[in-house]
Amino acid sequence: MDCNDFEKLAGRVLDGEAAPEEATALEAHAASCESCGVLIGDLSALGRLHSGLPELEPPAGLTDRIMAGIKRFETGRTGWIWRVLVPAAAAVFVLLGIRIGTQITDAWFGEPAVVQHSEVTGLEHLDVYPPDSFGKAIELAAKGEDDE
Amino acid sequence: MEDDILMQRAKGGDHDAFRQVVERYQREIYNYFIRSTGSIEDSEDMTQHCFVNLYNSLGRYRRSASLRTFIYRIATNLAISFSRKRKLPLSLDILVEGGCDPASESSSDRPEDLAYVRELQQAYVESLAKLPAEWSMILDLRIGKELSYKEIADAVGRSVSSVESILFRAREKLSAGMAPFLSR
Repeated sequence: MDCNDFEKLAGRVLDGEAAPEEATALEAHAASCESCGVLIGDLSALGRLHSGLPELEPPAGLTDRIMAGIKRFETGRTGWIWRVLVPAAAAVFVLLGIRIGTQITDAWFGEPAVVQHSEVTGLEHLDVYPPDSFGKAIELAAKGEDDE
Repeated sequence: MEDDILMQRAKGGDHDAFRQVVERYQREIYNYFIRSTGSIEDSEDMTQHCFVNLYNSLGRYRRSASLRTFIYRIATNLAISFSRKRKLPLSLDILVEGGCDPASESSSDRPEDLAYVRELQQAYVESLAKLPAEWSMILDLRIGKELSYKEIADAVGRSVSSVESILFRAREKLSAGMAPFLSR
């Protein structure tokens, strides 16, 4: 192992990511090379400085605020149902109500349904009045007057 | 209760289970943000944001993944996004002013020794603040949070070799910044 290899490997050994034989080789080189021995000492010192950085206490009530934020998020996620779907559904109900109401009103108070001529096409050959009806008698009587 | 069980319950709508996840991880996530923002207010906001994002990602969480790594992935994305928007240089003075007790770092009670430790800490956080944001986050995930290279790679979305390379360069740069205090 030369000093360049040592420098590249040092971090991995300090981080516990090197294979055991790599760690052994690194130790052997550090013991025989003064500058690399100093380097590994410096890197360890930097690690200790970082590990010694303080951990601050989170502000009181942070958990409650996080959970409140989650509730707001959930409300926001389902809120569109209330903002969009409910008014839309209400509008559909109103329109349906108007339509049904109109039909009921027509059925109760409106003009009777008129049978369109097109619906009885093909019955033109029949007499307007049934043979024994009062209307037929009047028609025949009228014809007789004409004949006379 | 294990993380996986809590997460499965949270997926089923159990808020108490999710609250336990928050209580378990909020302190370290809050401190992760402290070290990447240098601000108490921003760290609090980002911690809230991080857990809301986690809640929103419950469906994507898989049992095979480590919850801790999964949370750090969300936190790292937030921290990187924050660092891109930051206009002023990062200051980590809060780590020296806010709670770093020099006496805990020094075996001596002599005022000059305590002053030296304070000076050393100040120099370290200044060097740390000068690193690219992602480098200092990766360094903190490794040394501060003791994540493995693989876990860090998963958390920051890089390869293991890339993480290793960044750690190497970060240490090199820190060593240069701390040269007056180091033995070389």
